[in-house]
Amino acid sequence: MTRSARPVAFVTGVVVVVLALAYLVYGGIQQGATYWVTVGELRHEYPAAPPGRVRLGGTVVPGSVAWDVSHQHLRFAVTDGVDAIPVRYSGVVPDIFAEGRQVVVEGRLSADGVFAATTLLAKCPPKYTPADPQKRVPG
Amino acid sequence: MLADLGRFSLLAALVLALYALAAAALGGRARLPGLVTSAARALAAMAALEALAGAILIVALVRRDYTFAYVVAHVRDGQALGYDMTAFWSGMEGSLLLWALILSGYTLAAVRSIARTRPRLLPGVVGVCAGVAAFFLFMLTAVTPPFVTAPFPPADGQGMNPLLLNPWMAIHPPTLYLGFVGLTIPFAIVVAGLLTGGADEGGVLLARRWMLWAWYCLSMGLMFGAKWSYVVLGWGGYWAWDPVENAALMPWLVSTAFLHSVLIQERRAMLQQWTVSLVVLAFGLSIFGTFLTRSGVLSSVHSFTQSPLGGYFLGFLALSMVAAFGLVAWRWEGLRSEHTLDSALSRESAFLLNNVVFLAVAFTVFLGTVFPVLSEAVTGRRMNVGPPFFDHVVTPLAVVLLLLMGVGPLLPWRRASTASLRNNFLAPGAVGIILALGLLAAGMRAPGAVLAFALSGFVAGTVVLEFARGVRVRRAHGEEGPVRALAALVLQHRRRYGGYIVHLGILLLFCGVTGSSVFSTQRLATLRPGEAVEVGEYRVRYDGLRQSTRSGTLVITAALRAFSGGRDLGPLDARRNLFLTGQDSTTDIGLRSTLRDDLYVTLVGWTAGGDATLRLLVNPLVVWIWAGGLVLTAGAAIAMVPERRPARVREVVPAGAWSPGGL
Repeated sequence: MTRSARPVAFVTGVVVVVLALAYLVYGGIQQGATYWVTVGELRHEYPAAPPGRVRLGGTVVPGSVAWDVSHQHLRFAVTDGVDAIPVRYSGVVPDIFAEGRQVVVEGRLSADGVFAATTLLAKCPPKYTPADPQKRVPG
Repeated sequence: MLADLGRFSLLAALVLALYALAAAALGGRARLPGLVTSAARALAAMAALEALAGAILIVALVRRDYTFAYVVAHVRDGQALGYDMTAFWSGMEGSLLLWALILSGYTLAAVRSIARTRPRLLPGVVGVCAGVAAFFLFMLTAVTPPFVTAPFPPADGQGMNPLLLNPWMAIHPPTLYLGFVGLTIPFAIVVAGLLTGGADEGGVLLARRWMLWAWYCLSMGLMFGAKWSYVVLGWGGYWAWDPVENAALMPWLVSTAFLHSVLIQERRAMLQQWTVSLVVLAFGLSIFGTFLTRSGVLSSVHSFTQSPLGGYFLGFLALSMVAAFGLVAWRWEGLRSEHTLDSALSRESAFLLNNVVFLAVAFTVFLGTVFPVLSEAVTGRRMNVGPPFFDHVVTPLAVVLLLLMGVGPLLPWRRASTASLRNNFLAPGAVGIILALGLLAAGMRAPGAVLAFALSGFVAGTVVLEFARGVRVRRAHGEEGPVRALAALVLQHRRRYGGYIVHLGILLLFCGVTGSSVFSTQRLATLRPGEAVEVGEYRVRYDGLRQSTRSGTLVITAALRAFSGGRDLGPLDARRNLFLTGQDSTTDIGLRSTLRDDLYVTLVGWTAGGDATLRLLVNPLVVWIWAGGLVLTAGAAIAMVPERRPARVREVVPAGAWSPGGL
């Protein structure tokens, strides 16, 4: 089909879809985007003013996991090998969540220094690439 | 030794694939049919060698031969024999071998039919299939070899991740792979068509049959994955916009777009450039999807580049996409269509708009999936977009698609007249409006849900109208009863009416997703034995904890009983299985499904005193989603059975005509 033969109305339709998509994507990113941070970044780069919602990646500190019945939430700490941050989370705990495993938590750092997580993702224990304990875990 | 034999057969298969690639390329260029035949034979031998390698892996898994590293990683004593076999595809090496195996099965079938019907395409198809097979065999020999052995085998293996020990997870990956790999054959056919000369429409139509199969397998794979997520993971949902889920959704969206646009190509000989590009894109997304699923790069907390697999996959992806799209560009003029769009208000333009929206959804999913990498490249900071992003963008687009699903079949080809519009839209439109008013009167206040259900009613009305009209036309011409007429109608125009049945399945799915995402209620409660909690219209009583052991597992059961109003609905137990070896645990949800809603209970935690913390959800209409999958299967099966009388392609249709048998 030749360009001039395309009905104007149809081209308008496509333009409308594309513009609507751009608008929706922009709104979605404004609403849903979160920064990835490491424990070290959260500890040292934002000591005074905690940023908004972030994704925090790290390893669950062995011995730190406790189930708080009265508040119905889980408490644990995540570490990047150097620093650690306490986390509290209420919601569904993935079956593969366990001490020493890698997790991603999403939420915000509250004023008392505890990371209040609303999402908890756990990662299967790595079978192929054993983690190097000497290295900081990248966020 | 078995492992050596396995390694050797994969290596020999790689050599044969490379030979087939070279021979097909040379034979195609120099027009030496003998060489092309020999390339096809090499592919048959390659398939046999891959089958041997597959059989060796199966034998090793079933015999629990712990000299194989792969067996150690995925099998352990005490694991059910059935799961020892599904361990074949629970790891990366086995999955890639499965990919290669399915590909060679498809290749043999495609080569057979193409040699018979379109010998001109044979060198191209053999060449492309050999090329793709060579890539996977290279991965299997050099990068992720499945036949690695250990000199000192352990006494027992590690076994599969307990979350994977579930029937849905056993069939989910192979189904998805049947779909992913199925996209290679249309790609090969289209590339072969482009290589032999631009406008081979027959090639695209042949590709359509394969695409329909691949699309169906992808649909089922997605469905099985959703079911697994719902019943095993215990979070109460079935879709989380996880990168691994998105990986399968993207090719599904693009192949759905293709299945619609190819209708216009067939009917009106338009849009060849577009359909061909969609086939190439779908193949690219299948490779990208395999890469995402297998390497697990995005779901991990690590970045893209740390997987050894990633570089090879992305390299192969880039190479194949540049080559194929380069080919499309080279043949662009030859693919130009003779017909043009007559009117913006026609079935063609509704289909085109449908394609634009499907691609918009696919683009959104892609953008959201790679957003962490993209944002890191652009801003230097890694950002993530989660389900809110996808819901925000995809929901309105899905509503537009739903609207088009109703509008498309009612618009006549070429150009719609006002009279035909009124005639076509009156009854289904009324159904939608009455449904909307009914729901509002019944007290439904969520505007999005009312809109979605009303649109679903409208679309269902259009589908029923299409069936009714077809039956009426048949009965006007003959002496058939209504049931006979309906059966004959569907059987004679299988693709058209199979397609409508698929639409009904999608409608059920859409209603299920709407109901369960808008009206889900949940509650977290800690109960003492004997206490009860209300959730939705249900009351759940907790009768205490039970403890038992079952083959290496400590099972904690919260004994529950569900009531609705005064009615006793019987026991509803929620369990946690704690594996005595290691830290793993799994959840068995308490689930009571009805057409109306699901009562879904997870045991979250408990105390030594016998208190239990439960998470209770009432998810309306979830069963409709699974029912939609069944209806979709029925429709796809009808559409896939070859028609007895092949429909004439490209009839000239008068503007505004409605044709009972057309499409």
